[in-house]
Amino acid sequence: MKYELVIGLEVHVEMATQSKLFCTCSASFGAEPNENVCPACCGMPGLLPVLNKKAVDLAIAAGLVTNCRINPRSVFDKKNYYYPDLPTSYQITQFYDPICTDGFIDIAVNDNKKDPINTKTIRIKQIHIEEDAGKLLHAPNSDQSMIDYNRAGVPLVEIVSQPDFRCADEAIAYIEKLRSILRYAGVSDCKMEEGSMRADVNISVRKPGDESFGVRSEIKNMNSLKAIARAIEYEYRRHVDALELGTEELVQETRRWDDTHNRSYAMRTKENATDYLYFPNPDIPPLDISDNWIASVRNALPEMPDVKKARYMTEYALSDYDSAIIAGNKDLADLFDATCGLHPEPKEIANWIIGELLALMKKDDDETAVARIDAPRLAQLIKLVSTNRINRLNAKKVFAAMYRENADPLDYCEKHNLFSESDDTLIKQVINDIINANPKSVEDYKSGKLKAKDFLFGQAMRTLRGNGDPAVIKRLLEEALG
Amino acid sequence: MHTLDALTLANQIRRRDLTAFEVAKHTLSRIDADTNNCFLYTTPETALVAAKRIDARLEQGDCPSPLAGVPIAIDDTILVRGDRCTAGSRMLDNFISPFNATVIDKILAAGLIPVGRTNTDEFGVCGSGDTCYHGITLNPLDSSNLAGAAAAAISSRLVPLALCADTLGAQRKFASQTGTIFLKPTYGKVSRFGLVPYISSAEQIGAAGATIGDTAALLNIIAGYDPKDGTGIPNSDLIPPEPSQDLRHLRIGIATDYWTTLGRTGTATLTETRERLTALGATLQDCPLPQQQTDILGMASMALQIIAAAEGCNNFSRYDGIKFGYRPQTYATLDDISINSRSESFGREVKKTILFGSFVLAQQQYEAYYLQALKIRRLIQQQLAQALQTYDCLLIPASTGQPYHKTNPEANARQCLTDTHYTAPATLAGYPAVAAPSPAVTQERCGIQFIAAPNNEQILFDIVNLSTTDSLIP
Repeated sequence: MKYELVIGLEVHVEMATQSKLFCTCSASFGAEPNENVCPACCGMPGLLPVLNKKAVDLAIAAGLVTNCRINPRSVFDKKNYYYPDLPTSYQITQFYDPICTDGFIDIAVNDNKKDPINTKTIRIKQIHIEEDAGKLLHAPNSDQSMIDYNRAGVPLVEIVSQPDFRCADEAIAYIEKLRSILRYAGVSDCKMEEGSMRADVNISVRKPGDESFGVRSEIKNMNSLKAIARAIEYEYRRHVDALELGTEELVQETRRWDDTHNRSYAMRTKENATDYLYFPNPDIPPLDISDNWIASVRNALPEMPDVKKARYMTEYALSDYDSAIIAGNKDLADLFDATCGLHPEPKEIANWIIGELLALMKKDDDETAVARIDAPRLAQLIKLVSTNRINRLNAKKVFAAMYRENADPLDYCEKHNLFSESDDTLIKQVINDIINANPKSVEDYKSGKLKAKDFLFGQAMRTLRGNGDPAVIKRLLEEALG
Repeated sequence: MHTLDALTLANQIRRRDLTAFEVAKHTLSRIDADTNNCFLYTTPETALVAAKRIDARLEQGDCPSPLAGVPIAIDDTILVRGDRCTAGSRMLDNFISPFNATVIDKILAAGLIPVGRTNTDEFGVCGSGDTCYHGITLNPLDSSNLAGAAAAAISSRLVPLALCADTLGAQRKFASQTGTIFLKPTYGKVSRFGLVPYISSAEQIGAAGATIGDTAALLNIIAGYDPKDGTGIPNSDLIPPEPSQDLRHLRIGIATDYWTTLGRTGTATLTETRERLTALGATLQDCPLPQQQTDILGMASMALQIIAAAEGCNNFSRYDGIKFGYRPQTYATLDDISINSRSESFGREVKKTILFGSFVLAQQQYEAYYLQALKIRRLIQQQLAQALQTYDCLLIPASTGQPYHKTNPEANARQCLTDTHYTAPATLAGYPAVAAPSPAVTQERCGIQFIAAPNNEQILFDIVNLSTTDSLIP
């Protein structure tokens, strides 16, 4: 029997604040262990939490871009559990009254080039603010562990979806969409590899048509899209096997994904789940958010990807697919918009960005590489092509050099003699030589084998070391062949 | 000079009849000779350096505050940079604070001279005076019984002033039993930054002294909004220096139900107090709380115990033997470090707090205990607010007056529950209250307590200033 897969996601995102949520320590990533640490970060007595207003701004922004209600009053609670990475043995979070509730986002559920994009609405249950914990570092070949409290107190928002996903692709599309809009809104850099975006995945299966949900397992702390997809596939099979073949009895539990061995392991079941002893934090007054505060955050938001995509389609006549790709990535869109401002050939610009830049970035697996291409140089390169000063083949070489070596297009063309040869007299001479040297091809052409012209064209371009202006060669060759 | 009140002493130092240095030296030598175990340790080096510095400033006519040069005791739950601060617990026996509490910065800026750390109930729990890891403190007025160390230090004239935190209300109780004054300010008026936390939603650092004038002057120095404390009240008004001449403008409500529970002690203390206040022109009226209100107030002690346990249990959870504090001798696993450090270093009452707090916060009990306690707290606040619309302040006993015997910890812990009945209303509501001694009309000193509306410390100051008779301490 075919079972329906049901997935819900809890996505944790570290907010892009300068300082931590409740103290003035730096919240930056990559410092030496325990460099960004004060007495509060190590749980000493006597420190009181003072809420970082910037973190509230960003949480409101996260709520706005996910169409949530921003609650006029929310409350911070204490969640109690003992683990050495949690300095006070409690985490400050919003359990009972979160800052944002009842939102949604639309995700693309097919993204092939031909069909128009279909969307699906994913409901968001709530967004709450909380502090991150530190990290335990286990020394290799030793039974010792060290604690690094740099991350302790870094502000997070946790975005909790409803169980609206029916396959891994939808879950992945949702995380990618969240990443896109949260980056746009400046909430976070959402770098999964640095842990500034992580997901807990809730998975169950049920028979098609069932109203109620099956037994749920939760896989904690996933920080790669590929691993999430694999974990979902694995869990689906495990659940179905349990129900169909009786391989095991399913229990509600928290599991850990082991990407190396491609399987999940049970961490704890509901029966021995911790009681977190939640209660309102008496040291932090309730957080009251006025309409003015919300309006000021809303006014500061940039054009969001869905709006941008629609504009690209109407204003520039870009395809659904191209618009979605560029608008979906803030860095690409910024480059596109800036280049359009310098050179009015949007379709051409989009082709360079999608065809060349994205391909190189994908090859390097480096999302940050967008920064290597700047708008003035890209505009200049496209201008060189459209005025036939270089041919397209050479332009691709120039682009690669811009990407790899930070090359300036003009300098690079000059240095490597890439400018097109468009002098009629010279090209005419070259074509005459080619025609004389290849009488067989000329004969073929004249007897109707039109492909022979392409061969002669190639020979001419080769003689010109690839720098011939293709339009000129084509015109003169056709003249010469009569 | 040690029998002078703080303001008089400061005057003499300012006039250069005395130097801060000689006062500090004298104070330190009297503390060394103390037999009641009021102080855990003294800080002679820093005290004498600070005294010299103040003397130099005063010589230049530069007087930072009306209490400049006066020695002061600091409760062991308040953090001082570079000082050991144990909060009365073996857990923090080796803990050196890397920063100053805000109140410490303020008293240092005002030129007060901290001379040492007074004993405390472990983390402020219970309030019986015998839960400290460092031993008990005896009542100077009756050495067979216990007292809070700050109150005892003032009562035995070791120091004229002390800073300590009022948690469940023990500071008011022991003030009434040692013939001293304790002023608990409005919640949020004094920064809790640097106070080792126990009941975060209710506790306040207050002023202990021999006279209300001294405590008012100290409150003026330590009060004020602190951006490091998110629960602070912005623009806290301070007490004007000029006291009223009489009490003709005041209406005082007598919470009769509280007094009748104390039998003969209550009746006699109330009669004596009523006569004194009436003579000063105050209007006194019985404020019999309606039956329903009595029930609610009757639950105040229980509600406070529940809230204190919940918050205490949570606040003590940071002590896990890993980052600082007591590290056990032996442990095999990570859990062992926490379990052994807590088992070996926490005292009985702290362990009870953790157990009770975990119980009331557990999902199954949360509504029945913790949420009910919060509800009672709201009702108490409403009822006090309502009564204080009619009256400028309420007069209730500060305690039962039952002494705490030095060899009976179990009975003392039970007695604390009863005494908390009198201190819990102001603590839960966050209202200012002052405890003052009553003459020993019977064997028991229940003391008197006035509760005012938030930020109305001025009224408490006027009443006690005009009504207290000659000092009860030798």
